Amino acid sequence: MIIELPSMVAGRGMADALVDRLAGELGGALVVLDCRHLVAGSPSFAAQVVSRVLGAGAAELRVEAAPDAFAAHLREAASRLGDRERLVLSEPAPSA
Amino acid sequence: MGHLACRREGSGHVLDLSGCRWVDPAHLVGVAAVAARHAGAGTRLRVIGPSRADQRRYAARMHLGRVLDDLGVAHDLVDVVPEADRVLDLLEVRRVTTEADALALARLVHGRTAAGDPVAAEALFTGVAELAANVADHAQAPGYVAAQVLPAAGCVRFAVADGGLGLRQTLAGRGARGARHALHLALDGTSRLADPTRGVGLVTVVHEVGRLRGSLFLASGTAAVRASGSAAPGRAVRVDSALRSPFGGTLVEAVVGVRGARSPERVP
Repeated sequence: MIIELPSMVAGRGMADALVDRLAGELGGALVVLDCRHLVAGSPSFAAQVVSRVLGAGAAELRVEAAPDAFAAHLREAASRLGDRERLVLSEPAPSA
Repeated sequence: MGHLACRREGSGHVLDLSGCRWVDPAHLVGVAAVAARHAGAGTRLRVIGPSRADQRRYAARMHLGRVLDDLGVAHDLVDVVPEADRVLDLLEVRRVTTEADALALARLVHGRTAAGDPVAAEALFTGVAELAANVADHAQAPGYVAAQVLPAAGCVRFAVADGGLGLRQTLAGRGARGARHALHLALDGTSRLADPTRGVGLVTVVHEVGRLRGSLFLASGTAAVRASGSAAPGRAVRVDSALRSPFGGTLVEAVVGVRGARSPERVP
């Protein structure tokens, strides 16, 4: 399952809409958050994605090419949930 | 903030900015929020603009009169301003009621600042998106956003206000004992909702503002607090103050240092 983020994301409603679009059962799934096009993302959006995906029992939320600030928002949200292990950040975005 | 107090006038109220020596985005969104509150309650309000010509022109440039017209609130501000005079007005007074509004305004501010300072633009995006989204999520009233480039100071000032519930009422169920306590709870990351991932927005904005040599002013009810001074999470210095005239709702103003802070190009 892949969530492809646009260039700018904010708000919990937008996160809900993107997660709701995923087809299939989240429980036990590998969900990839594709941030290649992302320029800026708000902490509330990051928190809601983490909360929805990990809260639904996904085996892993794999984050690809996230800008540093957005990656920090994701880590913070996972830490608040006490669930850093299932959040995997890979391949930092190349610096501009 | 004192200029946002209303006085009675017959069967209605007057909000009088005539003695205002300086008008900034916080005044503008504050007036708009108070006006929206009156409009929503069906009470008559009249707004008297600043007496000083430069401040009067600024309020007009930022389209405060247009916002008041939309709310059906009487005022004496004109709204005929050459667009060439508006190059430093990053974002004129805009209404926000939904998360989609918040995202659109955050995108706009980012687009107008990214070329000069991409780091500050990202912080401004987060600030506008989070603070405006808080209005949509919690205030139960429309909010207003405005932003201004201050080239002499090398910074951008932006403000968000609503005439909604206010932080004391919003956080009453989370242990807020009073107006001041509610502000500190919010700055500590306490949300109306018990979800542990909630409450991150304002905390992050304070952190980002501190990282960029700025400060954040938060006011609601009878209390206000300014957070500034440190980029380290949770280490910002907070200075409390009391408002002589309570603000019925929530007002946030943030100042962010922006490299160059040059005049943004206008976006059609």
